[in-house]
Amino acid sequence: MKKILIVEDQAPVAKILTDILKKGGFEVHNAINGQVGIDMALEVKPDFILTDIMMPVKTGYELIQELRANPDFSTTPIYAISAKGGTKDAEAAVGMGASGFLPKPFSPGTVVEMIKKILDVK
Amino acid sequence: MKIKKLFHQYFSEIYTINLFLFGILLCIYLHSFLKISLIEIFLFFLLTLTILLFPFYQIIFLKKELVSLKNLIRKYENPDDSKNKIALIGKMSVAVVHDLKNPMSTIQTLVEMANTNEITKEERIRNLNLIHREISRLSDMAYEILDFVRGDLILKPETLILEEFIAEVYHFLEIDFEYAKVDFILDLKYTGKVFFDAEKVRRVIVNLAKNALEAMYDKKRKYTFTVHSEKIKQKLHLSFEDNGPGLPESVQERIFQTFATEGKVNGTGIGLYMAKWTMDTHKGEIQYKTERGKGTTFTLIFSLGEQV
Repeated sequence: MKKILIVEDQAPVAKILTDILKKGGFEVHNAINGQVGIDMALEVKPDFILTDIMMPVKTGYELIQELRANPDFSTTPIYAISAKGGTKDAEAAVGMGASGFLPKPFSPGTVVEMIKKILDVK
Repeated sequence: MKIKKLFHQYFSEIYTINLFLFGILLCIYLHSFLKISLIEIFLFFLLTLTILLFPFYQIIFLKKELVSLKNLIRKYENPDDSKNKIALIGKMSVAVVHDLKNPMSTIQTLVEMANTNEITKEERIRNLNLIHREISRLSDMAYEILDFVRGDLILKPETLILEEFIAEVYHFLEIDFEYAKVDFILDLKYTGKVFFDAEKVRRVIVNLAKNALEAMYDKKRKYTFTVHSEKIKQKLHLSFEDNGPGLPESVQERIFQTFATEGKVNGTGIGLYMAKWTMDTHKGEIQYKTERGKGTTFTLIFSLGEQV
């Protein structure tokens, strides 16, 4: 089972994404801020990381930069979650090493399909 | 110009009243030459005394008026204050716009999910509760800014049962505590009637809880958030104790000021400032004690007076 790490400080968003991805057949791990996200990534070694950008303690940008500097995560897909109208933030995240971004609001089917396609899971 | 006008108005009033009283006095004085009685002598002294003292009362009153007028002018005409306020509102808007996006996109996602057959009945009910909560968050933010910009906190106090009120606040925060894996503990020694503005006090508690949750993220530690209530000398002491890292000294120095926690990514940046203002308006108090590595306790003190 592929492992997904969701790094999100907003409980409702994290809860919805977790439910969607669990139903899609993934093993899901949650981190409440960028710092916890980095620690969990090192511990869990996820196959895919979804991260919010604006978070306390450490932001999504810092998480992307720190993980990309680690050879273990040089190819791990890291996607930034961006709210509507926040495409500039998401583009900045891509500039810092994110593989792409997931725009909010998202439909459950689209998220699962997108991740399955990236991870080549049927 | 306003001050000059006010002076003119008050001195004209003093002059008119004094002239009127002097007329009465003169009548009695003349009458007393014809038929002097004890009552008339008493009246004579009383009126003379009134005439002598009246201008002093007027001056005291006028001085009070001038002070309040001066404060009013300072409040609305001091360019530094208005500049500061505008700068704060600008700073706040950036935080708010970011914060508005989150509940809005959550609501949109949940509404989209409601249209699919991929969710169970239980999930649909939970999602509806989440929509309700996110709308409350939006309205809280809007009211917080509105109160701040208006500079006026209008209270709508009501009699409530503390135990029920705390249960409602917890229901609002339940998902946050679950997600942060922080235990919510109740230690209510007083559960009875209270008298305050439920909406505004809820906002204070939500702010305190969110600040605590944001600081308690070390996965190796077991965190708790305990609500204590106690009646001490006709006062309710409602405390919120966490076992988080404690407040940094830099934050303690200006804890109840706007943007006390620089670099905070969530909230309007005026949460604790509003908490202090809310408690002051309730004629209550907000106190805190904190120790690095041990935790922080905020205490709200309300009077359990006549209304309760």
